[in-house]
This record gives sequence, structure tokens and C-alpha cells, in this order.
Amino acid sequence: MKTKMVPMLLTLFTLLLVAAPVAWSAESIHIAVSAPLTGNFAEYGQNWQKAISMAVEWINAAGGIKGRPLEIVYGDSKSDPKDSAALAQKFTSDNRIVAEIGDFSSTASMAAQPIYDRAGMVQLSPTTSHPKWAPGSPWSFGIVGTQAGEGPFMARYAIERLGKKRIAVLHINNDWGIASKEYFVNAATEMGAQVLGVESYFETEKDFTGVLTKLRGLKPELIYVPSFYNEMALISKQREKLGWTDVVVMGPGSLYSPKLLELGGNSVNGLYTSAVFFPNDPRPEVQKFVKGFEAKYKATPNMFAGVAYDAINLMAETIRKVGTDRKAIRDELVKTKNFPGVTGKIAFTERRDVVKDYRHLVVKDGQFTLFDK
Amino acid sequence: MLVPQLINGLTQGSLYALIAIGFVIIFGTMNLVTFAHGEVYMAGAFVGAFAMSLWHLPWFVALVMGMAAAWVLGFLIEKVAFRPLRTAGHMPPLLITIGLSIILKDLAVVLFGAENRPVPSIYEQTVRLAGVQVSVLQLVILGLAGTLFLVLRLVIQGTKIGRAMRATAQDHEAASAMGVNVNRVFSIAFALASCLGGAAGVMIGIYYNAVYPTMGGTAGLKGFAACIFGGLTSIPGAILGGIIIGVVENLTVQFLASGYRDVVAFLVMVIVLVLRPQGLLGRKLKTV
Amino acid sequence: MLELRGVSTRYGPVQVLWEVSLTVGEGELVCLLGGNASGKSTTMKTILGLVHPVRGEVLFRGRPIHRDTPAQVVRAGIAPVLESRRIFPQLTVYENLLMGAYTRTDGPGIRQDIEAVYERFPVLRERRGQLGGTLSGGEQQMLAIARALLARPRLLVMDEPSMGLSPLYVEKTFEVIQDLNRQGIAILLVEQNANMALAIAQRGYVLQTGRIVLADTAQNLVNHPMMRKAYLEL
Ligand SMILES: Nc1ncnc2c1ncn2[C@@H]1O[C@H](COP(=O)(O)OP(=O)(O)O)[C@@H](O)[C@H]1O
Ligand SMILES: [Mg+2]
Repeated sequence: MKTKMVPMLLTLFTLLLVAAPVAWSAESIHIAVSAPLTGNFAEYGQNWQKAISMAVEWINAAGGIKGRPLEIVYGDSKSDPKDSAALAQKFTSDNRIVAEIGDFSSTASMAAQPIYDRAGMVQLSPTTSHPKWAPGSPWSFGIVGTQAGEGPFMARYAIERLGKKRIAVLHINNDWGIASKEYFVNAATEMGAQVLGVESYFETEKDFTGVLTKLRGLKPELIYVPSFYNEMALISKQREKLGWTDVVVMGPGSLYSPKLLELGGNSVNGLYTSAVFFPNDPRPEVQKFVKGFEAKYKATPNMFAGVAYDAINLMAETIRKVGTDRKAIRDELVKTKNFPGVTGKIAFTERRDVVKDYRHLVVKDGQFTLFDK
Repeated sequence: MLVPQLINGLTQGSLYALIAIGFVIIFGTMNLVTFAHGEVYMAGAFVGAFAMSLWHLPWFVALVMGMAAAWVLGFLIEKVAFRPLRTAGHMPPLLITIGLSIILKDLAVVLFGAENRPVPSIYEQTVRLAGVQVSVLQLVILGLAGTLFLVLRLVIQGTKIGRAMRATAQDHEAASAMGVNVNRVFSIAFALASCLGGAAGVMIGIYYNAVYPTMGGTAGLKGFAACIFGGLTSIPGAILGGIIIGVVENLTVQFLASGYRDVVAFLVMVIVLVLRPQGLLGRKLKTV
Repeated sequence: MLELRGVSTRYGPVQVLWEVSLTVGEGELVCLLGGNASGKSTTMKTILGLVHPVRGEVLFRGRPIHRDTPAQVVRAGIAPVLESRRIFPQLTVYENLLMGAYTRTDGPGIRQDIEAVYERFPVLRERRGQLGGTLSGGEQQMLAIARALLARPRLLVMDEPSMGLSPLYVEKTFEVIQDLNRQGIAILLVEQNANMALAIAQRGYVLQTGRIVLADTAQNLVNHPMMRKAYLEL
């Protein structure tokens, strides 16, 4: 008897294991994701998709949400406001869908906002950082932090941690850059620093020699540069060539990218920045995510993967607590106070965005390192 | 900061001038405008950038390669867009070069991606000259541009092909009757113009540390503006025009704001053209 | 030496020459007369290879040249003095002369020939560094002729060399033409000024709307009633 039972049981087990993904007794819970899966921002959308798929796999492997599997309905918005609005129509009218994650850019998220608002469905964006976004509708949530939080953080970094009091600003001339500059300059002035001059450049600019020469004339100790890695690399190299070395360069977390190191080379050594997600962070939840991601995709996750991972986990956690009612999800989400995300603790303000805990970073020997002085 | 700004302007302006001379040579000899000149400059810049960053060649080899590539591309463009349409008037070649410029730009996007491609830095040192800190790279660029102006002058003023180019520019039928192979002169003029554009492209890539597919757009426009500014058919005029645009831009950055640089540069150009419709060094009208 | 056989030339759809035949013998001075727009310049351009005939042939010293490029025609020994001179206004006098020698590669020979034309036209030596455009009309005509001579031609094809010149220079131009002809250079002289042309030419042709309507000795042409009526009433 006994000898016959063993193979039988083993077979049964194996069958159960193999069949497990389709063997759910209960109906799936559907969450929609509106993201740029193709187009100019596809790189970011694909990072989201990787992180979210991995998180969903883990959740379902652990038994789903109260026995029900989680299922993602992806929609490709190309981060285009027309497409994100159309997707919002589609998602909100689909009764199976309980909440939405997305979109990527402020513009795409805000175009879809009134539709989610009218339908009464949560719209949780992993990346939208415009200060006006989350307050725009009671159904909108942002988890990446806003310039309203980052500006003062960077100002404190410059003034209190580095002791620099004479500051000049060079910012990219778009909504994001202007907001970044405003929050930084206001905070810095309040903290008693002297803002000697503010200059801006257009997105397509490649020649920074003129504007650097001008700023240099003001003799600042630190220049704060809200920009992206592409221009920051050029700014750093051109600054070096002009022989302007007696100045500290700092910029917001938008600069935190391996591309900056690749493009900027030696010239970005000594550059100060910040990050909400730092893969070398020793916290266990971060290491679990990083190791899992690296094993699955053979690449280190970046901030975009990190916030998407936090978004889906936060959503799953909330549904676990209150079930699948769209309104109940919103009401529970608002109360989030202490969610341990890989991009830091998530606690919503009354505006339904978050104040991130940023990490102080500095580029040393061609690597981002934690600044711990 | 005025002197460093002037040096910035001079450096940038000398590169605009190289582009502008290309327009002058092409317009001067063929009485036609090419809209693909900026893309030839872009192509030269990419070849130079690849030579330095992928094949780790010294910058002067990269420069020669970029110039050679632009030469070949110019030669082909003349063959494809201009030669068959020599007698078709101004419009068809113009439209073809607009099309070519779009094709070349898109091709670069497809082949190399739309992103900036980094170019390694050279001459990162600075020197003190009369109390002013000057970038060695800027001096190198100024020296190179100056050398190219001189070589060009020698070629155009002192060689047989240069004389044939000038003669063709003034009266191509008469030149042809003298035995000049006008088609060959057009070919060489176009290639020479392109080659200078390619040189500017390689140097700009090195100067700003970046090349990218759309770089030919504004550069082409600035070069064309400098060419009009200087009188359309005058090489010294184009050099002067390029340098004035470069200097005005940098002074605008210093005394106004970076965002106004193009506006002010083009405004100055419009004012000059209102006061002197023939440009700075242009003649009233070309007599045929 | 030069022979046109049934040459027809068109500019696109417009036919300008209809079966033009003419000859210029070794050392001969032949004039081609005709009113405005009769096709004189087109005949010249056809000879020079600036346009190619659609029918007929052009022979020079027995060899067909009507498919040749202008450079080949010049090298064969035909040099042009173009209508309204067409010197290069922004080249110096010296450079204009060098353009005349464009197809030649014999440096010393060219220098020697330049010396020779300076001897013939001292004003050009005086002005050698000046831009061509700054010369007077008469001086420009001398330059145009000198430039053509730099090709060492056996045949000069001249298109209305007297046009627009002061009487003094018209006189001088015709003297030079005669002089060159006496030195053995064959000349095909296109003129509207029939009186003066026939006075120095040995033979002449009359072109009317692209067709040769008369061909005879200069003497006979002067006396021809049709000529007297159409071209010689000044
Ligand atoms: N390049 C051209 N294209 C079209 N028609 C032309 C061209 N050159 C001349 N013609 C025409 O050919 C005819 C003969 O011109 P041309 O040979 O210059 O006459 P001529 O020299 O006897 O005055 C004229 O009707 C003229 O309009
Ligand atoms: Mg005529």
C-alpha cells in the first residue's frame, strides 16, 4: 500500500503545482496599468512592466489576494495625453477593473484625471511629480514625491550639509525645471543662503559655455542645476574645459542615472544629487526587490522600476484590507501611513502625494555613493 | 567676463563661418541653395565622433575622416539632387534637398538613435593669456578654423581649380566655352563646401561633447543666416557674419538671458539686412 | 577646315537652326551675317559644343566634333570670342588670360603667349592686375580676343565683336581681326555690321530664321540686291 501511495501522491502534487496558475477557484482581481510601452518613453514603461509583472508573480505565488489571483490589464498610452485619456475611458467602463496605476508623465496623467475622477476610480501614478497633480482630484495619488519636497531637501543638503551659502541656479526651461528651481530657491533663501543668479536653458541647448561663463562671473560656491543627465553631462564637461573648477555642482534626483556617469565621465566626479531609490540600500525590502529583479531580468532595477513595484504592492496591500470596491480602495489608500516601499516609506499627505525620504548621494570615482558626512 | 564671452563667441562664430562658407561656395558657383547642408555637417560630426569614441583614433584623424565623409556625401548629393536638375530652375533642387535633409536626419535617428552621442574630451586644460583664463580647446578650434580659412583662400585664389570655380561662378557659359568642365567644377564646389561643413561638425562635436541627429537644423540655419548676413556670395562676408552671430549670441547670454540668444542673433541679422539689403560685404546684384 | 553639314539645332521644343551648312577654309576669313534672332549665336554655340545639334554634323579638320565637349573643341583648335565679350568681371586681366589657356598644361608656353598678347595689346599689360569688370568696353573686347588667342587656336569664332563699341574701337577690332587672319588664323566672324564684315571677309553666309539663304564671295554679296535691301542700308 505504502509503496504505491508515494508515487501517486507525488504525481498528484506535481499536477497540482503545474496546474496551479489555472487552478484558481476564485475570479481574478483586475488592476489596470496605463503606461508608455512604445514610443519615446518606452524604456520607462518597460521598466514598469518588468517590476509590476515580477511583483504580481510573487503575490500570486504566495496565494494571491485572499485566494484570488491578481491580474494586470496593460494599456499602451505612449505617454500621450490623447491615448491616456482614451485608456481611462476604456478602463473605467470595464467593471472588472478595480483601480488604475499610471500614467508616466504629468501631462498624460493629468489629461486622464477628470475621467477617473468622474467614474470614481483610483488613479495612482508612480512617477507624476507635478505639485498640482494629486490635489487635482480626490481619486488621484502620487508616490514619487514632488518638487515641493525635493527642493527644500536639496537646499538643506547644499546649505546645512555642505555649508555652501553663495548659490547660483541653472535650470531647464520647462514646467518641471521652473517648479524645481522655484522650490529650491525659496527654501534656500529662507535658510539664509544668497542666490546670486538664476539662468535657464532650452531643452535642445548643447552650448553651455556662454551661460557658464556668465554664472562664473558671479563667483558662486555652488551651482544648483535642475536638469537631466544628458545636459548635465555636457554642462559638466564644458565647465571643466572652461577651467571652472572652484565650484560645487548639485542637481536633483533626475540626475541619478548610470547614463550620467557614462556620458559625464570624470567631469561629474564630485557632483551632489539625491535619489528615492538606491539599489545598494541595505534595507531588506530593497535587497529582496533588487536581487529578484537582477535574477529575473539580468539588470539592476532603476528608480522607475522601484516606484512601479511600490505602486503595485501598495495597491495589492490595500485591496487585501478592504476588498475590491473602487470607493473602499480609495478610502483605505488615503489612510496609508507607514507602507515600507523600496523607494522609501509611503505616507500620504492630505494632498494625496508623499514626502519622500531622499538619500544624499555624491559621485565618487565614477560611482554614485551615499554621502555620509 | 566680457573677454571670455568674446572668446566663446569667436569660437562658436568661427564654426558658424565654416558652415556659412559652404552656402557661399554653393550659392556662388551654382546659384542654388541646399537645405541638406546642415545634415552633411551632422554626418561629418557623427563620423568624427565614431572615429574618436568607437575606434579611439586621435582627433585630427577623426577630423580628416569627418571631412572626407562629408566630401563624399556632398559629391553624391550634387550628383543625385543637382546634376539631373541643372536646367530645371531653383525649385526642384531646393525641394529635393529638403527631402534629403529629412531622409538623412531620420536615417541617423534609425541608425544611431535620437539621443546625444557623447564625444570624448580633448585639451581639457586652460592657459592664462594676458591675465585671462582661456580654454586650450577653444584656441585649437580657432586655430583650425583659421587654418581652414587660409587653405580655402589659397585654393580659391591660387589654384587652377579655384580660378575655374570663380570663373564658373561669374559666368558658367563663358567658363564652359573656355573648356572648363562645369559639371566637374560644380561637383568639386559642392564637395568642398560639404567638406568644410563636415569639419565644423567634427569640431562642434568635440567642443560640446555631443553629436545628435537633429544637430544640423539650427546649425544649418545659423550658417545660412551668416551667409546672407555676409552678402551671400562673399567668403570674407560669411566669416564676418558667422563671427558676428557667434559673438552677439554670447553677449546676449551675458547681458540678457540664454533663451534670447537666437532671437537677438536673428534680430541683428534682420536689422543689418534692412539697412544693407546686399549684406555686409555683398555687392548690389550679380551681373551675369 | 571647318564644315557644317545640314546642322539642325533646337532649344527644347524650339528649333532654331534648320539644316545649316557652311565651310571655313584653312586661313580663311568668313563672315556669317543675319538679322536679330536669326540663329547666328546658336550656330556659334553649336560649333563650340555648348549646344549639340539634333541632326547634321560639324567637322573640324576632317574629324566630327558635334558630340564633343567644349573642352575637346577648344583642344582641337577652335577658340571663341563670345557675344558681348563675356570676360570674367571679377577675375583680373591676367587671370582672364589664364582662363583662355585653361585646356593647356604647358606652363612656359602659356607664359610666352601671355607675353605675346601683352605685346599686341599693351593696355592689357598695364591693367594686368585690375579686375576685368573695371576695363572699358573696348579694352574688354581686346581682353576677350587676347583670351581666345591664349588657346593657340587655328580657328577663331567671333560673335559680334564690334557690338556696343565706340567707332574708334570698332575700327581697332576689325584691324586686329584682319591682322590675326593675315597671321594664318582662320576666322568665322558673326556680325550684324555687314558693311564692315564684308569689307574684310573673303566669303560670307546670310542666315535668316535659322536657314542659310545666301552664300557667296564677299564681293558678290556686297552687290547682291537682296543684301543691299536687307542689310546694307545703314
Ligand atoms: N538658350 C536658349 N533657349 C531658348 N531659345 C533660345 C536660346 N538662345 C537663343 N534662343 C532663341 O533662338 C533664336 C536664335 O537666337 P540667336 O542664335 O541668339 O540669334 P542671333 O545671335 O542671330 O541674334 C532666337 O529666337 C532666340 O530667342
Ligand atoms: Mg547673337
